[in-house]
Amino acid sequence: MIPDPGRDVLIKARLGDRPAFRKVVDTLARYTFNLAYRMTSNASDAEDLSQEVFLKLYQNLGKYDPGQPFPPWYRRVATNTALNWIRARKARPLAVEEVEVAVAPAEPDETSERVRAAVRKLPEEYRTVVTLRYMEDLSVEEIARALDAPVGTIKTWLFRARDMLKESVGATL
Amino acid sequence: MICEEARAFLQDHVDGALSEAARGVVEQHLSGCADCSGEHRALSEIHERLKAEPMLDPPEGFARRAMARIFPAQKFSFRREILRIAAAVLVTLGLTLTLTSLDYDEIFGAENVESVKTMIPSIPDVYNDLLEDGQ
Repeated sequence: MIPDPGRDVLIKARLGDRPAFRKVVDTLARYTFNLAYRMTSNASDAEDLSQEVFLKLYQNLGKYDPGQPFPPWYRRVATNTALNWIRARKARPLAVEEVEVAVAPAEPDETSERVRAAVRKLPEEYRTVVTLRYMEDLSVEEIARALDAPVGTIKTWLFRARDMLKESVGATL
Repeated sequence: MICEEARAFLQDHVDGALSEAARGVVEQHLSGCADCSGEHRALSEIHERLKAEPMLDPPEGFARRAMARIFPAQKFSFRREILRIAAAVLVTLGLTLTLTSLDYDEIFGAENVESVKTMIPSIPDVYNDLLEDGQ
């Protein structure tokens, strides 16, 4: 779930109040970093992408209507920035041995690690829909709205993504 | 229901996106088909693993570095400072040269004061004094 910095803080931040914008960044930091980490697969790129997301947020905050809920609007900014960033970097899926482990999971689990590695190897669109579907528990319709893509396309990506995951991980299950 | 049909519904079943009637048909097939139930188990496992992925804490100083990227501090530039001082010196020199080269006698001479007086008939007496001094 995306935390909401609150209407008053957002209004101040829209008017260029720097401490208010810092509060917005603090509130969204964990969500943004996790989204970026799942999209890029390593901590350094995740931080770079997160900064890009916050820069876009700062540049576009004037377009946000404070009368509307903030989280869905921010999700669109964040996911579209992430997709563009990945395309611009021509990010390739990483091999398991290339992946930097930023934070070790609390309880290392071979199957979970295999699933994680398989997600990292998915094409960018598939990885995005899997991230949104499972990280945020979004429905197919919500993902379609966030990515501005047809529902049928999202269903296809999700289907293929899980099929690929099953192929990669299935043998161990 | 044959296996091919059932497999088209397995992901939706795992997602809980099937109607009650469709779910019943799929489950009936799964109960009698080892291949499809194995497939279903694998999908369910992936679904659960992905949902259970832990949220990570951002690294130390994350928000501060993001703010520094958006609002970069103005760095001291020796070249920029030199250019700024040179520009100030040039402007001062230019003004000094202009002011010292003006012919003040001509500007404030009797002729000009007289013409001003003609244009403004009610010119105060103080300017008459100036006119007399000029003569």
